[in-house]
This record gives sequence, structure tokens and C-alpha cells, in this order.
Amino acid sequence: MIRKRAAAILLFFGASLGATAAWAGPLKLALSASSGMFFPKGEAYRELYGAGIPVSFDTWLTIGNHFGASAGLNYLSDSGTAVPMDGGEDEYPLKFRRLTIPVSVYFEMHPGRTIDLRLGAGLGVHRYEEKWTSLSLEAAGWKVSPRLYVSADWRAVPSLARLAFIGTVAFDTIGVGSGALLADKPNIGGFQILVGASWRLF
Amino acid sequence: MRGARAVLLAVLLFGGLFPPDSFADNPSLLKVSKAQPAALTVLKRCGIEVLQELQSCYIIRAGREDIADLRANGIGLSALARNVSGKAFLLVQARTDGTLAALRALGRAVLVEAETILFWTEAGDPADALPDGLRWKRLPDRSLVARLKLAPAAVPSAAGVSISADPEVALIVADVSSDNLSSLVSGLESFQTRNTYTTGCTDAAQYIHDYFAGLGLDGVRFQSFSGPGGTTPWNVIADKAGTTYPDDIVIVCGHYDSTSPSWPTLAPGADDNGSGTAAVLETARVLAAHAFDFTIRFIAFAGEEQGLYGSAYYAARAAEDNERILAVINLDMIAYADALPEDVSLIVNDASSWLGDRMAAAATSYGGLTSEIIVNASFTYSDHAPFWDQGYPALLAIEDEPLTNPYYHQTTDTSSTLSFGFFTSVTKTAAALAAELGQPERTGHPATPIGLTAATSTYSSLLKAVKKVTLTWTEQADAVGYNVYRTTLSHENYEKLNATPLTAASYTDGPREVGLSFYYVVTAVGATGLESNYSSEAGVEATATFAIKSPAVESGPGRKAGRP
Repeated sequence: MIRKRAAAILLFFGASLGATAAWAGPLKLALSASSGMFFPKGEAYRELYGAGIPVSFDTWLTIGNHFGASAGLNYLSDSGTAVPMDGGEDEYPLKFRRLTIPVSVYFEMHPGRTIDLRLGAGLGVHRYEEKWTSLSLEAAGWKVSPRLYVSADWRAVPSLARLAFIGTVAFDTIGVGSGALLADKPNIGGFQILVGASWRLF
Repeated sequence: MRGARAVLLAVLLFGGLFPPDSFADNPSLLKVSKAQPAALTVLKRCGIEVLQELQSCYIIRAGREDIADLRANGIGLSALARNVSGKAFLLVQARTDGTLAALRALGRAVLVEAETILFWTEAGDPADALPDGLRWKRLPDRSLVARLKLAPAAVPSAAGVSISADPEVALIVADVSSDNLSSLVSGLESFQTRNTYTTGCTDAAQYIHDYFAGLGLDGVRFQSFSGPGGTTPWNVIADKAGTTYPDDIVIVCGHYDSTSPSWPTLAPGADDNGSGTAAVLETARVLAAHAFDFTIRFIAFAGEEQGLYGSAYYAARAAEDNERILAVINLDMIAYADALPEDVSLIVNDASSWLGDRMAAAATSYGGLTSEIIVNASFTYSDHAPFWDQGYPALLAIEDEPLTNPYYHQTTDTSSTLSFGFFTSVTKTAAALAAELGQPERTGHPATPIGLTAATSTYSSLLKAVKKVTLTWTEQADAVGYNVYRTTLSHENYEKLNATPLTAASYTDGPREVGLSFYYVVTAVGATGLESNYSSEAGVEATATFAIKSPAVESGPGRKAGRP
């Protein structure tokens, strides 16, 4: 069901983009790779895993001067230890992984000759899994959730106009199904602060 | 304008006279459907008063704050009666379509579920307004929520239990005598009437007391209670004290009072319930000469026909005293056969389903009898029901449900109408189950382990939680090892966890996911390889895996004790 929804959303974005491109004229396509810190929103997640280090790969298609769309792949992996609820002293290591396909549209501004600033909104299609590595126990699921971000490109090297440094602050809120004892519906989303580089193809 | 002022004045006046808080203390009775999987967890965690468990729902007593809590947690409710403080309520069995209309002519009545009516009157005791011939029970005034368990889904009775006949138990049961049963029923009939309002009831109590005393049972005693119409009838109680676990009790019971339209002078009550009483007495006789790990208690109740007075009193006191009752076997009308071969109906609630399975197995193994297990928490019209109300596992054995005995509550309910072959089979079944649960001592076997405790450690991740159970018990000199058994349904289908006997008096199980309840017993293994009886059961209840939302907590003031 979630896969069908995700496919429908991607189709919608693709169609919208094509229509906009046909209407607006010149296109600009860039690829970026970035990493940084993840600051979880959910208290239970914070207690178990704390902050994490995500990695993100994105494509940015700007149509005309102000509008564009983006899609990518965002990966987050965290380790932690199960929380004893009644004073137990055993340690059960945990591994949490989240793979997100973010799809969004953005509005682009140009506050300086070398800086582009984007405000974006869209959806994230998330696949998550949590493993108790010392036990044969795991839980996994899919979730689609809203996503907001602010992203900036800085073309710092005049001789390499296609290269830019990129900085992004993104926010996802991802409440997932039935939780365990720490939270009814734990939230595995939060803020990501990412920095990296982008390369404009055309 | 003047009209608006008048309305405003009326609102202010009314508001001043009856501020909102004045309604808060007069609670309502409501129905909470069991079809809501989280219902019991939320009721327990929010500290709601659950007065009655029925097959499809709980009847709760709740004020506005409670109702808000339940709604905040997504629990659906429907109102049965408002402003219930100080009123008495009855649950009446609706056997015909006309019952509800007939009761509405006599007081207030509302259909709670298919066959259960809640009946009350605005003043006085609603029992006084009820016509004869209806089966009914008082709605308890005390909450049983703390004793309700997050039970696993009812196991289909077909699952049953595979218990081969125990030669020791078979030997005991072989002593059950049809002649004795006949003689005992005749003895009870000889009082002409045993109605609770009559001296025949007192005389019958003395007869039962003397019979128990003659068997050499322990602690033979009367238990006096406040009965119907200002009477002070007696329950009659006797023990076969357990040698290993004297405080863990298996109860075999039945009511000895009787009724008929001519009850002041004639209510022979051979089937209802001379049969059940005689079976209790005969079971006591055949078990008296043997030693058991657990105490087996025999009880003859009075006041049943007027609303389960005797059993309600006993069960309430037992709960107050934290009596450890393992099981209640209630025998009520077990000797009339409308057709042969007759089977016996075993009525249980979800939490007592294991007891139904065990008795069905005993019926096959020892009674040569077929049985039908009926899981129906709404069948509350005999002495097992007050035990359910206190959270104890209890079973009703009855010849037919629905009843087919045409002499029921008539002056013609005499021993000449009884089928003593069927009656003897049911008595053997009850005696066998009592003996199995009581666990006969076995020569040459090691002693039954004691001191079993289960300590749990719970750990949670975001999406899963696990529980580790550490079992410890008392080491014993006559054991060279121990076996540990586990089940997810109390008292049946134990599985051995260890491949070879353990040498230490401890065992760790798990960690396992928290959604299931687990029950453990331990046995000792002697030098000759013989194994002891099971220890007393140690249980680890399932843990609910979600948090409870409580507006009352969030708002700060008015927080109730016991809330999260």
C-alpha cells in the first residue's frame, strides 16, 4: 500500500515537473552528496540512540529561476542499548537503520551572485528497521511522512562554477506504528543538518 | 430582551446551586465492549471501577473524569444507568423475548447483551420486585479491576489437554459410590425443605457439618453471614489440609439450600442442589484418607436461591484475606439426564478456560463421560460467579445448559427423577479434578519443590520489549536435579525447558517478547530418577506495550491515586 502511494507521489512529481519544464524553459540539474548530524525529535529515540550521522545523495532540478524539484536517498544508521524498565543490568545492543527517499518541490532565491537559497517541502518515503543484535528479534516497517527543508548552495570557487558547497537543514516527523514500552507511537524523525558538495550537470 | 435576562438569571442561579463539580461524584454505569483489544489494559491503567465482566463487555462505574480518560484513550462506551450512587442493581438472565418488557413493568431495565438484562428500582431492593423463576445475580458494588488479568485469547475447548489417567488418582476416584450418593441425596431430601428462610436449612447445615466432622477433615466450621430477609444462614466449610502448600486452596463446592413454590414446607431439591451437595460430601469422603500437596476445601453454600448470598460472602472475604484459591469447582444440578448417555456442561470464563479443559480431560479419563465446555462469562447464576467477580478461576458443572429438568424448582424435584449412573460419573470427574489439582503425595518420589519465585527484568527498544524471567526455588536434600516447565496458559500444557535435570535451584528463561503471559512450575528429580509433583505455579503476566493518555493527569489537580 505504502509502495503504491510512493509510486503515485513520484508519478505526480514527475508529471508536474515535466509540465512546468515545458512551460518555464531553461533547466538546471545538479547532484549533491552531504553528511552531518541527525538530532532526533522523539524522546524515546534520543534516549536509545542519541544523535546520529546521516548520509544524503540528492538531485536538484531547477526550472527557470525560482522553481524546482528534488529527489534523493538518505541513509541513517544508529546503535544503542535497550533501556532496562525495572532496574535490570543486562545489556542488549540495538541497531537502527532508516533509508529515506525524499521527494520535494522547492522555491529558489538568489540573495547573492554566488549563493542560491532554497525553501522546500515534500514527502519522505521511509523504510526503517530495528534489530536486537544479540537476539533474533527485529521490527521493521514503511512510513510516508512530510518533510521540510532549507538548503543553500555557495559557489566558492569562481574557476569551478559547476561546483558548490551545499548546506541543508531538513526536518521530518515520522511517527511509527505501535511502539514498545518507551513510547506509544515513537517518532523516528527529527532535524538533519547536512553539509557537502554539489555538482551542476547543466 | 427580558426573556434573555430571565434565561441568564436562571443559568446563574442554577449554576450557583449546582456547580459542575456537584455532578462529578454521582457516577454512571457504562458498558465497555471487549471487542476493543486495549479495553482492559486501559481500564486497569486508568484505575476505572469494573464491577462485572460479561462475555462481550465490562460493566464499569465511572464519573466524568473517568469517562474523559477512557475517551482520550480511544475506548468506546455506552451508558446503562446514570446517577447510580446508593442504588442496587441486578443482572437478570433474559431467556425469552418478553423478559425485558416484563421487567420494565416492574422497574428500570436495560439489555446489556443478548441474554443479560440490568435491572434496578428507584427505591428499595430490586430483588423484591423480581418475579419467581428468573435467574439473577446482584451486580457487585466493589471493583474487580485489580484482579482481572490480561488473559490470552480464549483457547478453543477442542484444544483441550492431553492428560493420561494418573493411577494414583484413578485409585482414589474408584471409591466414589453410587449408593453413597443416593443415600446422601435422600438424607438432604429428608429435611423436606432446605430453603434459606427455614429451619430446614439450619438442620441441613448441621447434617453437612457432622458429615464433614465424621470424615476427620480439618477445620470443620460454619461461616455465618447476613442472608436474605434478615436471616443469618451458614456456609459449611471443611479442609483437607495440604502437606506442602497448605495456603494454596482448591475448592469443591455446591449450594445446599433449595426452593420451590411451596418452599416454607416442601422444597426437596434433589437435583437442585441435593446432587451438587452430595457430590461435595462424597468427594470429601474419598479424598479424606489421602494426603495432598495443596489444601482441598469443601464448601456447602446457603442463600444461593435468593441471590448467591453465601458464595458472595465467602468469595469477598477470601479476596479481602488474600486467600490463594487455585481453582473453584462448583457443582450445581448434576444428576438429571434428559437423555442417555448424558454429557456434562462445563461453564467457564476466559480466565478459567484452563479449568474447563482440565475437567473435560478428567471427565474422559476418570468419569467415562463426555463434556461440553461453554466459555460464557455472562453465565453468572450460580456460586462460581462470585469467585469470578473476585478474579479467581472457577467452573460450574451442570447437567444441561439451557436446563431441561422439568422438576426444576418444583416440589417434584426428588431423587426418583435422578440418573445415578450419570450422577456418579460427574462426581468421579469432580473428585478426580480435585485430586489432580491437589496433587496426591506419592511414595518413593522426592518432595514437591517449594519457594518458587519468578523475578522479571524488562527491557525496551523503540519498537520491541523483552522480558527475562529468573526463577529461584528452595534447594532440597532428596533431589539430585530439577526440571522447569513453562506454559502460556495457566495450569495446562506445560513444556519442559531443560534437556537434562538442573543441578542448581535457579533458572533463567528468556529474554522473550513481553506480549505473552508465562507460568512456570518446577519438579524435583530423585536419585532413582523419579520426579516429584509440580511446585506451586509462578506466573509472569503479559505487559501492555503502549502508553496511556490521561487528561486528568495532564491537567494536574484532581489526579487520582493509582494513575500513571
